[in-house]
Amino acid sequence: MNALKLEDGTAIRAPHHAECDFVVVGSGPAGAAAARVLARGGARVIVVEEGPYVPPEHFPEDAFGAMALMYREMGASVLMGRVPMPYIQGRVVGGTSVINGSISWRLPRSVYDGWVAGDAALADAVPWTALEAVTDEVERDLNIAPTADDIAGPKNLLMHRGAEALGLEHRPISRNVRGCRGLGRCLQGCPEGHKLSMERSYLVDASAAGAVILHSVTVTGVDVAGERATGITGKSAGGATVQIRAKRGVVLAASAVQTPALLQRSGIRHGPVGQGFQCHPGASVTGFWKEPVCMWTGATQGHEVIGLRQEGLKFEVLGFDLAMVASRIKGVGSAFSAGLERMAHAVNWGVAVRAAARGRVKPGWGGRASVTMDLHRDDVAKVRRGVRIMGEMMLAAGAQKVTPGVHGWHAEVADRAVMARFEEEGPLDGRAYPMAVTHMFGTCRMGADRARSVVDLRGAHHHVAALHVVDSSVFPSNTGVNPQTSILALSTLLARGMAG
Amino acid sequence: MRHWTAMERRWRDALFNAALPAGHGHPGWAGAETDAFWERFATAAPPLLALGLRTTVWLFTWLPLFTDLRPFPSLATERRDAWLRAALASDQYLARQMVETLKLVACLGYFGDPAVRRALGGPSP
Repeated sequence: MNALKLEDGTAIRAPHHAECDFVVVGSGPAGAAAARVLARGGARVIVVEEGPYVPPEHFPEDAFGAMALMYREMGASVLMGRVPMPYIQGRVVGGTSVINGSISWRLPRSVYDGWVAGDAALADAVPWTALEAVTDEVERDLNIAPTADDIAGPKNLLMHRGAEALGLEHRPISRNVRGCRGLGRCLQGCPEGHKLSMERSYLVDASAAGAVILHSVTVTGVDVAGERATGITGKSAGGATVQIRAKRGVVLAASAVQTPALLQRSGIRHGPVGQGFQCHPGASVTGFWKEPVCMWTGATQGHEVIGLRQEGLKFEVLGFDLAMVASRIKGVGSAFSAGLERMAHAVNWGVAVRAAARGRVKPGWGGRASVTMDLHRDDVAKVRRGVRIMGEMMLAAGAQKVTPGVHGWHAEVADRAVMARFEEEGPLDGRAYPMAVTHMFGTCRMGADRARSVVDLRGAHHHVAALHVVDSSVFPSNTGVNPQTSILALSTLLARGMAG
Repeated sequence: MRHWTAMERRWRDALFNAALPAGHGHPGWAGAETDAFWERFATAAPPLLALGLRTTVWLFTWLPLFTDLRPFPSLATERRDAWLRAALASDQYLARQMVETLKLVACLGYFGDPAVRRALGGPSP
């Protein structure tokens, strides 16, 4: 029996009106955490999700099936700029938590201190001790624990070996799973329901407290009357208009891309909405080992190197379905076909960079969001450094060769001394690297200053009453680490303020 | 615009067959079952990706006229292979990205076929 109180927008074919205390836009970590707090506080809550509800037994095994069903724009959303980079967001009940690698990080103290340095009032509004206490709760709720060796699989253990050889601090990745058997299918959704993504955890709690999850409905606007948010208007997958009146508030939790786009589309353009976009761009390197590794097996992402985090570099083992592993084999035509024969011997590791660059989100055509950003030269230098370190780690861990995938440099490297030269020889043109973006922040930043922020330190909009933002839009900066846990913690704290 | 004409399908198949030829223990694009993939792709692919792929098919079909005096589908197998390799090694960012897009879409379709998944060692759906 499904423990979620679901309402399906595909079945809504005539104008639909509903009323509640709070309408929450987005069912990912931010929305789920807020809905859980508000519903448990006795409020009538409706969570609106654009994507469908997909039960675990229907999660596709292959990458394309999952992307077509549960990824926004089939995983082909692109951040535009000098270096166009794809970014991925979930579009399904549970949001990106359904299709991510389950990596869980507490907000680093250094990041928090940076936020306070930029806005001293944040220390009182969101005290570190309170954030830590809520993070403890999140870790308990979601069974967050380091990946065990017996389910890690060879690809994760190889990073352990490579990091040891280079003397870099490393550790098993802490993940929000329970009973994981290392199927390697996190990015397609865990078919056994062992990932404690939102539709398996916080949304269940919210439903138990009365919250309704209305899925397959796209929110097209926030309704405002007399400088007060009164609800939302949307369109169901069944083709009908949906209007939800919210007596106490509208809570936006649609991500650092969708939330600012929705605000601007709704005519709520006060302050630096959409500005200050930050993210973690990254690149990956492929290595080939003599023995088969079968990187599509074992915990999807089970090991990380954290020794260079203060430099803004974090390394993770990547885990993909066969299609994505194959797409990273270099070459095309006969060379590519031959490379596929060695696919089982390939391993991908990725570096995520805490980029300094800031970009912008605007409403795009066809209801989409438009994201633009240009990497700084220093950001590309960090990517280059990351590629060098990954290549060296792989060779030190026994890889026969690595394929850095950098245009204009060696296609294959088998000698660690050659790889070591990459940081001097490699290009500083971002277009030479196969890059992608993860984790997005800062487009409705929180702050005390109405000119420099969109919401106050309680997540309440500076200019429109009863309108709140609780997702990573409010983060003053990127974090350098995977943000799911800090999003859950901050959203929980902000929602407690609303409920109180 | 999301569906391919018969002529475009022939061009597209020539490119995909060249990008992912048979051999080395797997059937290649031509030997895979991809009809269901294209049906789903037509409805699921976002406009930018759909447009990008179609543009790639058109450009790569006709650009060889300037170098080989014949369109891509009329090239010999070895020449098709060399032509795609050259595009991937090009200093033109857009040319490289077009080949990468072609490869990515080919992989998504190819590994949706259970027989391919079995052949290349993965668990089958």
